[in-house]
This record gives sequence, structure tokens and C-alpha cells, in this order.
Amino acid sequence: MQGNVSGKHASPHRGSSVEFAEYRKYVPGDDLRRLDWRAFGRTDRYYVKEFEADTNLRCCVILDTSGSMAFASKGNTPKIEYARSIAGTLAYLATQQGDAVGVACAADKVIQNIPPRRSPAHLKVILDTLENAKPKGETQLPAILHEVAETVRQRALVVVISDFFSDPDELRSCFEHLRFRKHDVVAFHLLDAQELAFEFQRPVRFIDMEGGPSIFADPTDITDRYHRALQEYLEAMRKLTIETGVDYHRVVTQESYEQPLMRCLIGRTRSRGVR
Amino acid sequence: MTFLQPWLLFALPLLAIPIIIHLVHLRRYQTVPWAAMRFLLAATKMASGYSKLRQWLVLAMRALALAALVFFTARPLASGITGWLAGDTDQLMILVVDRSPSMQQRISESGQTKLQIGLQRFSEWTSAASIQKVVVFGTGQEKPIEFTSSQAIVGDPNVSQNHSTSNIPAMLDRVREYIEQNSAARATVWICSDLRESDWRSNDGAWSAVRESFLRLNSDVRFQILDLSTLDGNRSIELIEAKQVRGENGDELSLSFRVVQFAGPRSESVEQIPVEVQVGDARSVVQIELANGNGELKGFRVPIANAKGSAAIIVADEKTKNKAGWGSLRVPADSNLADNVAYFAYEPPSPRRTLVVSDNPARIDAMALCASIPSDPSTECNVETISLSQIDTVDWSQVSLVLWHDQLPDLTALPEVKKFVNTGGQLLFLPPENPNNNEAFGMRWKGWKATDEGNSNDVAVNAIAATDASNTLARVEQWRNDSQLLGNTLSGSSLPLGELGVARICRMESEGTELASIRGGIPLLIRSDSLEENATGSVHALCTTSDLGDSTFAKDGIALYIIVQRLLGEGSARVGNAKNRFVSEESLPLLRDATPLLGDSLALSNRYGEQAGVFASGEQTIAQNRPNAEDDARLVPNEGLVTSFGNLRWYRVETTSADSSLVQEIWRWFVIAMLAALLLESLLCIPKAKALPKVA
Repeated sequence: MQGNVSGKHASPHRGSSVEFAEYRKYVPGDDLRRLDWRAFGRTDRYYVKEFEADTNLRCCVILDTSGSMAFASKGNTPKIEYARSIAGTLAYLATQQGDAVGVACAADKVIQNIPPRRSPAHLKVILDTLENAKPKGETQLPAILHEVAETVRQRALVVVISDFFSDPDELRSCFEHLRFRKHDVVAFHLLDAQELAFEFQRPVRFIDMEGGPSIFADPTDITDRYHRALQEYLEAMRKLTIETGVDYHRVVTQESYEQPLMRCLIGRTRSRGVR
Repeated sequence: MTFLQPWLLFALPLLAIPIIIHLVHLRRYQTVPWAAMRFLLAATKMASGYSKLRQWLVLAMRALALAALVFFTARPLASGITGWLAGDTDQLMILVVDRSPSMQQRISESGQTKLQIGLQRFSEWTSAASIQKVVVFGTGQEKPIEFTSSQAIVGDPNVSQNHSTSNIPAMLDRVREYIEQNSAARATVWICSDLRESDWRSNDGAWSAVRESFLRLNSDVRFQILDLSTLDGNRSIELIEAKQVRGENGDELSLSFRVVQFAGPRSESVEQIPVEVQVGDARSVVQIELANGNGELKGFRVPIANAKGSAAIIVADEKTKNKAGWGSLRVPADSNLADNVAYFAYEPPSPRRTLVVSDNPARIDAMALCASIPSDPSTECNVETISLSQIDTVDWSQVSLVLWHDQLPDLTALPEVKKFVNTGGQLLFLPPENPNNNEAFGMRWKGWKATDEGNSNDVAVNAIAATDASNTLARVEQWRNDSQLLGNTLSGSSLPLGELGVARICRMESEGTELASIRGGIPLLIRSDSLEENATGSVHALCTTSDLGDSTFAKDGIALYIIVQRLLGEGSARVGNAKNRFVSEESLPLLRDATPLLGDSLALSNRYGEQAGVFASGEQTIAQNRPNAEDDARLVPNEGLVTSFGNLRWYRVETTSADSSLVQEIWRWFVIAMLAALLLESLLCIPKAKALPKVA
């Protein structure tokens, strides 16, 4: 985990923690205070003593609050509820670890932006914000992600929770942008079981939840093609996240939100935060 | 295609039901808020073309199934125009039945004849079309028969076989009269026939009159020809002559007959055909050779007088003690039994009486002499000579031949002479010395003329010149040896007409047939073609006399003798009580009270006249045979039908196949169409197997 202050997360940078890491030769420019005089006494050579650096975490949770996130098939949790749970849990965990966490609710624009802070009192603000987030409007997630990439100057963990119903090419551009800015990106892709199965018997008028034109269709005519288009999209998402180094988690809202969270955190622990 | 219950077609608007259901179905949609619209957009974009096509196909199949159901319940009929006609049950339905012997030919495996098949098909059609009344005109029937049940037509004896040749144009003329009398607005005339030329007479001038009379009608008339024509092989036998003669061992029956093989297994080589000769109860078989399908036997002798159990019987004529016998000739049975037999009757030859009507009998002495010398010793010949003024005293019933050497009969004598000819009498006109302008039987004398510059109008001079071997007499250059009068002898040799010389000839104005002509194509012997239709005799004109000053007929008397004897032989048939004749419409009333002796035992007693067989009628024994024209298997070509019917509306329906039907209910096809449509519809509606996307 990368951060500016000491924290509980192992950092890829050498720092000033108590745990020795290695010796290396002194090079001009190194802090003279870090010279190991004892080693100089023994070997008559200049060595710099390095330690494992512990750092804190800047976590930016970007919650998609566009209209499509309100979708829920019968008996399932709405995607927005699911997203709130993940975001809230992450915020809680981060706060408990002394990490700075912030939330941005995004639809056609950034509806509300809570900058990352480490204060425990900040958790309540974040939870209130999540609770008040209402899914509405068209999604402009790619533009918002670009904006986040530009505005978050320090390295951060950017967690995007969305159904990602955007053009995969545009998303690729966003992720590349975030990665270019050294951000660690985690993507939770929320999908409802009904969206995957597309099981309808009679002709249906589909109302666009983001305010677009409705579509009248006979499911018997389009189911195959719907599945084909969906499959192509999911495959494109899988590829682009691999290629851009995004920690991608496809989530069906039928399962408990703890499961994808657990997969995510365990996976990151194993990779020691390096991506 | 038509329908037996066309009112059910009013249910066709039911076709709109699937469309209405489809529209209702479209309006019964559910509304679902949906997030993943981008995939829906892509799917509908891809599926729009096929989806619409599928929808239209499903709709079309449903509508087709309903249409097939409606058509099925309306009981559709097939067979083109016949099916269409079946729908019009209000029209006058007329059936013209060709009952001629050729219609007795069996053409189906079940042994049905053309006539039976034709009637059955028609009956089936009328039953299917629910037509009640049918008016039938049959061969030999003057008046139509009305049937109120189509089933009754089949098997009705009045519509069964007969043995006379049909006259289709004459029958159609009677049909036209019937339509006119009944003021029918619409009529369909069905003609059930095998299209024999002998029945249709496509070259007959009567057709033009028939056409015009039908076109003048105010009725809408169409003709349906039930074509029963076939070219199957057939063998027939015709009687040429049957006469009793005196032979070396007593009385004998002399039979001449002809066997004709049409198509079928005709072999190039000579073929032997057995002919069964039945005389009374006695039977014998004689072989006849068929060469190229034809065989003729002349003068076949069968002894009858001395044979014990002779067929000759007494036919209730105690006064004359006249003995008449009868019999039949049969060839092996083939597909048409009606022409496998020929009947004959015979009796001892009657005296052959010749009447000479002459103003100068001396000039035709040789001819009178020829008429008085019988060719058969058993035959008695006598000649009576009278003048024209004595014509009223003649007993015409006993006369076989009249040699008319006087002015042509005028209006006073002509009726009796015509009656004589009509009843089989033979008449030979000879030119008088000074002919006038009288005209009879389409003939008129124009005047004498020498045949060559070396000859003279003076008969005395000619007579002297005729004895000179180097005379300049005109020779007979051409003659018709296919005619009865100038045909070859029994031995096959031609008549010695070429040796005859003619010094003087009397020109004749005639539209008759030239049987012989001299140098320069000048007619010598003419046969009149202007006889009444039912005349059985004949009228000839010899344009010279037998006087030596006119010709060498007397000097070379063989030809003259043969001609005179042939005329006598033909004329003698009208005298006596044994008659051999052809079935015709005229013979019907003559046999009303007859007793059948041989032939079809199931024939109606009042229709003996149209049946072949031997009948006893009063003092007479009458053998009737089908006309020889029936053995002519030529068919009317399609061009002939086109010409005959002209602008009339006519259609031809093939009916020769035993399986063919004039009309068929084709509801099965509509059931199949309905099932196919429903099956296709269900196939189009089967949802495809879903391939769910991988989630993980």
C-alpha cells in the first residue's frame, strides 16, 4: 500500500519503519543521517541501512449512482444497495486501519464528493453520503473516472463500484488514465441475475432506467442476440481489465457482498498490494 | 376449382383472426424497467430483419391454416372446367350419348365399356354437383329422356348400347331445338363420345348450320366433350352379301364377308383368322386370311337344302310357302363384342323383274336381253316393257330394276319413281333419241353428239362402221373399279370396259359421280348423288345405248351383262321376305312388333330397330347389322373439332382412364395444407435453446 504517512499497510517503498530490510552502497544525494557508521567502522565503506517502510492508504471509492444502478430483479438486492454495502464496508475497514477514505457518487456528473480523510469521524460522513445516494440519471462514468484520475494527485486506491454499462473502449481509456497516474484501481462490476439470464415470455416494453428511449421487443426474437452481445461485452471487460492492470471483480448481486469483498482483499494481501 | 357449399366461403374473413390476435398480443406487453439497454439495442438491431420475416411467416401460416379450414369445409371440387360447372346447378344439363357400337369397346380392366365409363363418370359428376335433372339425347332417339336422378342414367336401357351410327350434328340440332323450346338461359351440353369420324361427320355441311343455330340462340350454351377415344386394337366383321343359290348338290348359302383389323397386334405377314359361321343351329368355322389387317371372302358356300336339320325354317308364310333362313358370322371375341358378329338372312331367290320404260325398245334390246338371262340357274328373271304412258299400271313392289329409256320422269311420274328408289330399287336412265329438258335426281340430258369426226350421228352409218376393226369409236378410258357397279369380278379381274367403243354419246348435265368416262373425259356412266337421305336404292345414267349405232355394248356384251345383273342383284334385295340391312333410325318403326330370332336377348322390344340381330316381322325375316362406317376407326382430329364447333364454347375432357373422374372432391389437399401450415407455424415458434453467458 502506498501512502505519505506511516500506516499499517506494507509499502513498496523503503521507509523508516523498525523492520530492517537491507544494506546498500551510499550514493551521493543519500541522506547522510541514514549512513551506518558502524558498518563504515568495520569495512571502511559507506553503507546506507534500509528498513521496510509502513505507509497509510488513500482510498477513493467511486460509487456509480446512475439510474441503471436502481435495477433489481424480483427477490434480488438492487445494485445500488449492493454497492452501498461494499463501499461502506471498505470505508469502515480503511478507517479502522487509519487509512484515509473518501467517496464520490457519480452519475452524469459527480453528485457528491467526500475527499479522503483519516479521521474516524469521517466514517459517519461517508456512511451518510452512501445512504443518501439515490440512483438517478444517465451514467457518465468514463468522464468522471478521467476527472478522478486528474484530481487525485497522490497515489491512491481507486475503488470503482458500478454496472459499467459504458463503452468498453472508453472504460479502457479511463483505466489506463488512472493507472498512468499510479493509482491502484479496483473495479466491482455489479450484474443482476436477470440481466444475465434475460428470461421473458411475452413481448416486453423495456424502459431505459437512465432516461433513454424505451424498446419494445419480443424476447423470443432477441434473447439469443442479447446473450451474444452481453457475452461479447463481458469478454471485452475481462480483457481490458487484465490489460490495464485493474483488479476486476464481476459480481452477481444474488451472492452476498462479503464474498466479492473477501476475494478482493485476500487477493490483494497475497500480492502485497503490488499491482 | 369450385365448391359444393360455396356459402361457407363467407367465413373467409376469419383469416383476420390471427392478425387480430397478433395485434392484441402486441398490446398485452408488460413494461419492465431495464438497465442493460445497450445489449437490447444491439440485439434488436441484429434481429429486426429476421424477426419481422418470422413474424410475417407465422402470421401467414396461421392465416393459411384458417383459409385451408374454410376451403375444406366448403367442399372444393377439382377438374378444371368440370369442377367449375359443378357449381352452377341452376343451368340446364343436357347429355348427348353416342350409343354407337364403337362405344361398346371395353377399355377398363374391370371390363367396362366406353359407354358405361362415360355414363358412370357423368353420373358421379352430377351426384357430386347435386344436379337433379338431366336431359339425355341418345343415338337413335328422336325425343329426349328426362332423368330426375343422375344414378338412373347408368343402366337405363334407353341409354344403353345400340347398333346404329350416331349423327352428332343432327343430335345437336335436336338439342338446340330443346333448349329453344324450354327457353333455358344457360345450358351445358355434355357429349359422351369416342370421337369417331363416322359419328361426328366433321366434314358434313350440317355443322355450319348447327353452329349458326346455336349462335343465334339467346341461351348461354357450352359444350363439354367427354372424350372416350382410344386407339386400342379391334377386329370387326362385315357382311357383304348373303344369298341362297342352287349348287351342284342342292341349295347352298353364298356368303361374302370382310374382316377388318384395326391397330393392335397387326402383323405384317398374312394372318389366319377363324370365322364361325352359324346358320340356324348349325355351326362351322372357316379361316380367312388377313393381309395388312384386311381380309375378304366372297361366295363362301354353305350347303343348306339337303342338310338334315337345316336352319331354313318356314316363316309363317303359308301362301307363298316362302322359306327364309338366318345366321351369323363371328370372329374371335376382342375388346369390342359389338362388331365381332354380323347377322344375315336369306331365302330362295325371288324372281328378278326388270321394267323397261322405252319409246323405242329396239334400241335397248341387248340390255333387256341381259336382264332376262339369270346369272344363277336357280333365279328366275323376267322383263316387262312398257311405254311411259303405262307407268301408272306398274306394280312397283315386284320390280328390281327399271331401265328408263325415255324422257326423264316428269312431276307426274317422279314421286312413284322416287319411292321405288327409296325402297331399294335400281334405276338406270338411258338417253332417248330426242331428250327434252326434264330433270330428275339432279340429272338432265343435253343432246346427242358423235364422239369422233369419223363417227356420225346417223346410227345406221355407225352400226356399219362399228363392224369395221379399224373404226374410230371412242374407247372407255377410265372407270371406277372401287364402285359396286364397275368393281372387279369375284375372280379379281376387272370388267372388260376398255374394249368398248362409243360412237355417239348423249351429254348429261349432272352433279353426280362419274363412274366411267371415254376419251376426253366425257362421262359415260354417272351415279346420281341427289337421292333422298334415306334412299337405299340407286340411280345411274348410261350416256349411250346398247344399240350398235351408239356403242359396242351389245357386241362386247360381257360388260353390259355384268352391269345389268349387278343392278338386278342390288334391286332384288327389295323384293322378297329376307332382308339384310343396316341399323338406322328409319328401321326403328319397322320392327316395333318384331320377334327377335338372333342377337341381344336383353334388347327392349320397342327398340329392336336399333339393335343388330335377326328379327321376324310379319312375313319378313330381317337381319340387321351395324353400318359398315362403324368399322372405320378414324377419329375426329382436334382440328376437326375446332372447325366443327367454330366460335361455340367447347371443352374437351379426357375420360378414357378408368381411374379418372370428371370431378373430385379435393378437401384432403386442404386438410394437408392446413396441417402443413400449422406444423410450419409451430416450427417457427419453437424458442431456441438459450446459451447463458458465463458470469465468473
